[in-house]
Amino acid sequence: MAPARQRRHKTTKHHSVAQATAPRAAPRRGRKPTPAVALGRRPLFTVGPVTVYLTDEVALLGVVAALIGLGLVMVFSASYVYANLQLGASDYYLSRQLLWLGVGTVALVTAALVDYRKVQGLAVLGMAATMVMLLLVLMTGERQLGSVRHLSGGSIQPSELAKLTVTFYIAAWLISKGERLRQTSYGMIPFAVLMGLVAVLIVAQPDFDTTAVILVTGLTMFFVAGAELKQLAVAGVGSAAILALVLSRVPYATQRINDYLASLRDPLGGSDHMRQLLEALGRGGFFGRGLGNGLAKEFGRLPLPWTDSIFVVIGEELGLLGALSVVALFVALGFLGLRIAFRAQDPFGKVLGVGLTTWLTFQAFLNMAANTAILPLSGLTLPFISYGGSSLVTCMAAVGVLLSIARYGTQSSASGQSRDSRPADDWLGLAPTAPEARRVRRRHGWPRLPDLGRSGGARPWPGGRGLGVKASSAVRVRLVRVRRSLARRPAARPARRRVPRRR
Amino acid sequence: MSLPTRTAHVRIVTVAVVLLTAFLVLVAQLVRWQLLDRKGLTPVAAAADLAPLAGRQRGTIVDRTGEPLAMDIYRWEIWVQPSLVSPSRADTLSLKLAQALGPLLTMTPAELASAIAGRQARFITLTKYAPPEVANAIAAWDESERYGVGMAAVPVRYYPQGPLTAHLIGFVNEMPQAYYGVEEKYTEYLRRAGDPFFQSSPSARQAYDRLPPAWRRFLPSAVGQDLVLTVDRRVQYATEQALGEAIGRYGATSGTAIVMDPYTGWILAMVSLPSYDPNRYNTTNTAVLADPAISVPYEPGSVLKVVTMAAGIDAGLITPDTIITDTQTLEFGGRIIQNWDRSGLGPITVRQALIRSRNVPTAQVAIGLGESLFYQYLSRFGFGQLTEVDLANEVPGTLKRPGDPQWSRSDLATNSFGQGLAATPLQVVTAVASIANGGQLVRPRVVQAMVYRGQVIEQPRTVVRRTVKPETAETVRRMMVDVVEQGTRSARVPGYTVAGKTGTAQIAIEGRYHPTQTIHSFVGFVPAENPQLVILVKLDKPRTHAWAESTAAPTFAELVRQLVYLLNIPPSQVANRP
Repeated sequence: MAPARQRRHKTTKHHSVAQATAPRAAPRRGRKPTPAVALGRRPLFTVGPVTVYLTDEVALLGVVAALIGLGLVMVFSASYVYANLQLGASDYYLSRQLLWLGVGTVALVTAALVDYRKVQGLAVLGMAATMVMLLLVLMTGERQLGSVRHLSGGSIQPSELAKLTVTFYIAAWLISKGERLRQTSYGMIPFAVLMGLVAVLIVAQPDFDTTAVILVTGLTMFFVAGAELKQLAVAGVGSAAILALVLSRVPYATQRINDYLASLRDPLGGSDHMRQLLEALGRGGFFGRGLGNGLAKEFGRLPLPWTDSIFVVIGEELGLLGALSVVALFVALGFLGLRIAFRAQDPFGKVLGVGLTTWLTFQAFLNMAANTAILPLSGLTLPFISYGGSSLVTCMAAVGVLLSIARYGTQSSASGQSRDSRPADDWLGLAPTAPEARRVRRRHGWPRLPDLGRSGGARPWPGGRGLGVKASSAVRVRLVRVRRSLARRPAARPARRRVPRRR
Repeated sequence: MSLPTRTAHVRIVTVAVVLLTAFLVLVAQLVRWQLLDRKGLTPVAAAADLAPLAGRQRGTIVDRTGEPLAMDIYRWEIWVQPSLVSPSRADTLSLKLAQALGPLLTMTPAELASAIAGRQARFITLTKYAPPEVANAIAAWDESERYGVGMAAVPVRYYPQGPLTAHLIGFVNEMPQAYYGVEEKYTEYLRRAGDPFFQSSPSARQAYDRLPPAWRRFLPSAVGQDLVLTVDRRVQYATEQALGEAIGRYGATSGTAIVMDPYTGWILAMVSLPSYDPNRYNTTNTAVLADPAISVPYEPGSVLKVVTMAAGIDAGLITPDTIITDTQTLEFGGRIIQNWDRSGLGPITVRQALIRSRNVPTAQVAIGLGESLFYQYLSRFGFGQLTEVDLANEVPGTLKRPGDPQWSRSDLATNSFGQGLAATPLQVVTAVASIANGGQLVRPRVVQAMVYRGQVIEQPRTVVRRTVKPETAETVRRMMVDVVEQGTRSARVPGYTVAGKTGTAQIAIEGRYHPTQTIHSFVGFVPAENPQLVILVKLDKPRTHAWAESTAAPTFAELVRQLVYLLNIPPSQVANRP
């Protein structure tokens, strides 16, 4: 296995350096002493017999909890003036957000407890449901602020849900293609059709920002799943061109782009909106004006300060410190998510993890970049922080799936104990150790061939379900041949067996 | 395995690096706006409140000494947004607003309170033109008290000189649309379309340092699209005073006076009376809005003899000493030409014919020149064409040429002494200026420089064409000095040599000449040996005197006496006298 070889190489190098610089006798046998910086091993706290270690899962939960906590405070701070005057209850938005937080928590826990691989097959169903909802919203939805995005009286935003289901589906689909992903007719063209279909449905609302998030997420997954770089470049340029074409056709989008271009020349002289944002940030300074003391949320200054512009409210009230904390939390979220993907032992987990992480962090980046005059203004929420039920629930569900990947997809469990064999120099925890890899394979039987004679059994081979169409017998025979030829390869490459364990 | 793990890992790290880079850009931008660029933000942000006023703001117009002639002042629109005022606060807020606004508020505090509490309207406009003191007082309230009260600056055009420059500048209505004069001619230039111009920016400070000191008092404006006129407010004032006095003294109904630099074409003063107050344009009789100096042609009368003589001399037909027989009558083209005194002096020189303003010899010169040459010269002097002065609503006058249906042969004779054709006062001044400056027809100008965002863009001097040879101009100039020295002695100014010519023209009404009403005019330049000012004085329908020699000429002399003092024009040397 490639990770094993990589691992061996790294430790060898490390040992030679350690011996050259540190004359103390490194223990040649047994476990290496691990410095306290090793993330995976630091005990956080102990309650009775249970010791909680700073594992990826715990860290991710902590980051998300911090974001949500800050979000609740800021949603209240940004909305109470308006809610009090317009709706008669200053906690109007906060109480709804708390309600959605409850729903989101259920979604997170459920997603974390369910093995993501077991629901791989549901991706098709979820995708179909999302498409139906997107179509419904186009036909029956209410027009709010110039576009149709909501279902059932404005409470459900299918495009938010679409981010989750589309990510899930694309990951399943990409993995089902296997090696053939590199062929244009198997990889690129169906991928383009798939992405184009989703994009058209969301652009029609019109919601360019969500479309951009989904396209970028899809392309990133395509990239990580092993796309031919040339194809990827073509897909990227193509989708950017189409998005630009559509943008130029819609007046309000063109207006925003023009405002943005004007703001590049003179950030304060561009649009009034942009000026309000930057002034608010300037008022905040380093320490901020203090919680609740911001002026940006005053009526008439910014539209929807509790959703689109909440980052500016944070920047104004909590200052550069607060804003940088938010950025740091999202960087941590991205790091942890990508590390979970990195450690995932199956391609589905890897691609899905990357997709979910990219979605969350890229959306956060788009929102914050728009609020700091880096990119044109957008109507995206800041994940976990902005007010908005659909957004909060889907983002929390995404985190639940990431936790599930960390829990089931990597060998390590939530206890953190099993990482003891991780060598000390691997403090980033990027490489699974050889025994980890082996244990995963043993537990999940991957990449062992499925028993094709039986039907209805477990399908450990990633793929086979493809687009959810049951293969005809002729196709099945061909698939069997392909699988057998693929299955022969690990045997023909016995690196795993030849390399003895070092310790 | 569907993908080589190593490739996947490299790609995941790539994704991480790309995302991290994006977030670093974000951090940099945050630091920029919250720490580094923060200082410059506050004052600029205050000035940026003018940003939404694009299209309403206009640049400042100053005269050549930097004195403002038109500028934006700000009044405040004040409104209440009932949705932001809790019902319990409506009463106290109404009382406070009524106190602050005083008579500006058209409703009682109780009415206002019920309107606020009723929440029927999204906005209740209290006043549109509150002075800054009121707005400042409200802005000083505590933020909790002020919440729900909105204020916005509204630019209002203000003309500090009032009626003095009304015809020149024009006015801007509430729309805002500009009418007449410089405002209309330069309406696109003056109206701010883009970003406001902030005087606190470094480039603005540099531009400010380069501006002539006199202009810096009011330029550059917040709009940054300003004009400097050639007009001198003091000259304009002296001209207006002299003209107004003359109108009163001679019982005229109206009058026009123009002071122009013959070399550059700069108009130093252009006054037409009666005038109006552009700050109250909406209560003004619309008949006086147009500037008669460029929009109302008149028959110039004997002033045009200067042009006829210049044409004759330039064509080589006559010299000042050529003898022409002045008969009592001359029949030409079926029409009888007479002198003003209905007599004939017999053989006289051309110079004497001009000095004594004889119609018959002048008509003989025109007849001698022939139709084509005479009208060619009239066209060269700019009659029947726009002077293309940079003012709105200029008219070309009427000059019937051979071939036009209304033209008859007799017009050749009558046109030679300024009847049967109509010219605007500015056309006459421009034509005479070409004698003063050696034969060049310059394009008259009102705007000396555009000051765009503090950068001075000088407007060039434009010579339209040559009218006569320099020698001809010199000869005619000497003849015009003789006119004042020997004929129209009332136009003389002690210490200065004056050249000029009177004109008394009957007013044409319904195709005939009015029996008694006349227009008196005098056009001259001073000092004659080195002309610096060309001045026209025109009085409409004076009742006390019959001839311009007794009305327009002394007014001219009086005006020159004041202007040479104002503009420091040195007296002529006695030796220089021709």
